Amino acid sequence: MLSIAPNFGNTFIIIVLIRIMYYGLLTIAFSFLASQLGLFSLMVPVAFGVSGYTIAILETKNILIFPYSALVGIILALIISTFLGVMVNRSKGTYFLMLTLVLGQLAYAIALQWVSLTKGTTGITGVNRPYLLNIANLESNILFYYFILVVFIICIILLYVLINSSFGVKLRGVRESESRMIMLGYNTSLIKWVAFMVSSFVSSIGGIFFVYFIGVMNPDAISLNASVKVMIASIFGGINSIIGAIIGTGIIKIVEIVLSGITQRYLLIIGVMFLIVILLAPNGIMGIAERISKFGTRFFKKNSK
Amino acid sequence: MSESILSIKDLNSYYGKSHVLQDVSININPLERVAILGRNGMGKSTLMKSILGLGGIRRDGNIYFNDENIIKKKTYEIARRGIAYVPQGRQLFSLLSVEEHLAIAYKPVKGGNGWTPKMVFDIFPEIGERKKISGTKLSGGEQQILAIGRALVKNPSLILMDEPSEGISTLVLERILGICHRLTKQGITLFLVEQNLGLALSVAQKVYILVNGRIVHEASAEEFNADKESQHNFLGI
Repeated sequence: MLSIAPNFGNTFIIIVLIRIMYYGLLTIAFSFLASQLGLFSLMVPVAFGVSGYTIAILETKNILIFPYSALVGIILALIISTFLGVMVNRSKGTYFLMLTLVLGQLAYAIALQWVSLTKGTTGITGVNRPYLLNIANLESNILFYYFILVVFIICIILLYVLINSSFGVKLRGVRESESRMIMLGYNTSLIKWVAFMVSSFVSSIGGIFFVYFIGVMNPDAISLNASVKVMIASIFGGINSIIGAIIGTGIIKIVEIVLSGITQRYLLIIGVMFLIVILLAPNGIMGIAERISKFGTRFFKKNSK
Repeated sequence: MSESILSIKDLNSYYGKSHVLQDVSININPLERVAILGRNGMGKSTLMKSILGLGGIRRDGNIYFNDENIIKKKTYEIARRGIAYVPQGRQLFSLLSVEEHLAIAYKPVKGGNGWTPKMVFDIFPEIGERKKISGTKLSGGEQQILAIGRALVKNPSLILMDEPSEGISTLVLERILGICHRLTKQGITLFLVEQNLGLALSVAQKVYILVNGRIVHEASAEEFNADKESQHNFLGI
């Protein structure tokens, strides 16, 4: 569906889909940790911000260009995540949430206050979209769309493979009981750290597309507001699945874009929608879809008798 | 250098301020089957957990496994050295299927004469038929079988079993007994904690009696079987 969408020729739709995809990567990064390990990380946008800022700084200061700038961005995001991962992977539950909240806010404060490097609230402007392999100028929204689509699909496939591999089984084991996994001879801190790095990697890729697409990098991208939106999108779609994360981001972003043109109070409306979903369908849109499909099969079985 | 596979010397264990195990010393030779007997609350399970460093227990003393002092090692490092544990209450995963339980524990042996998940399923068809269902959806006896199977496929050199007879039928118990005897032929040493005296004496060659955190008696299984007075004194039978 996503690959035929640009044939409608409507630039607006393309822009919306591109935004859904780069925010989608961020939500998937969150959802991966939440669904596989039961850990809610409010610092998922940190890797997103590090790669985005790195690219913005390297390119506006004419130090490096794409793809090297993006590569450095990912590597730097992973290096920082290495330390963050070690700091948080001994905690779980509410403590994990609070710790990631604090570390996320610390990253936000650095982005906001290290003005000589990040230009503070104004942010870094004038990041141009790159030429891809000297052939495709990504200034064109359609080419940009296809590029992010390919990367997006690759990320999803990689995560699916990972979740369904033996590593995925270990993740579920750790999610249920760390002590039982330790008893079996597993270094659970290492398993959690690897999962955290995977999440950061996906998040940092989202950051690359974000900064190239809008051409601006400012602290808003890694604010608490951004973290909470990611969490809401993930829960909205269904916390237990990657597809849910994508659907959740899709709905939230579309509602945001459509409503923000009509009223300034669009966040209120999103809040009410969120409340309704939480109250009526704790497993989000995917939970509703599951219930409908179950009902459907039962209905079909009954009628075929 | 001692010949024992597991040698516990002057082990003291504490839960917070309560001093549970007091100067416990135990020696287990390779391929031996040893049982710890004792009534409820005497510290039998604490002893098992102390060997592995599980569950917030503070420990003093020395524990040698294959001549290496493991008391300062992390639990997962101890487990990796070849100690498998069949805990009380089975401790299975509800999020993992029967098959996945064995898959994450499985450590293949070079030469290929160790336990494999397939062998476990062949010997225990009742769990072999239910590979895809969640581990905790099995019946009590089947869960115990899975917990033992999980320890077997690790192909350890030592298995610690905590109350394997708890809550299972005599039929299942007899087969577990068979497995226990078979372990010796496969080069696996067994260290068992048990309240069921009959089971312990039919499995073990040597028994230790634990009373209030102290080892008060040590005997061969045959001696202890004949020694009704000790049975009465220490176990209240």
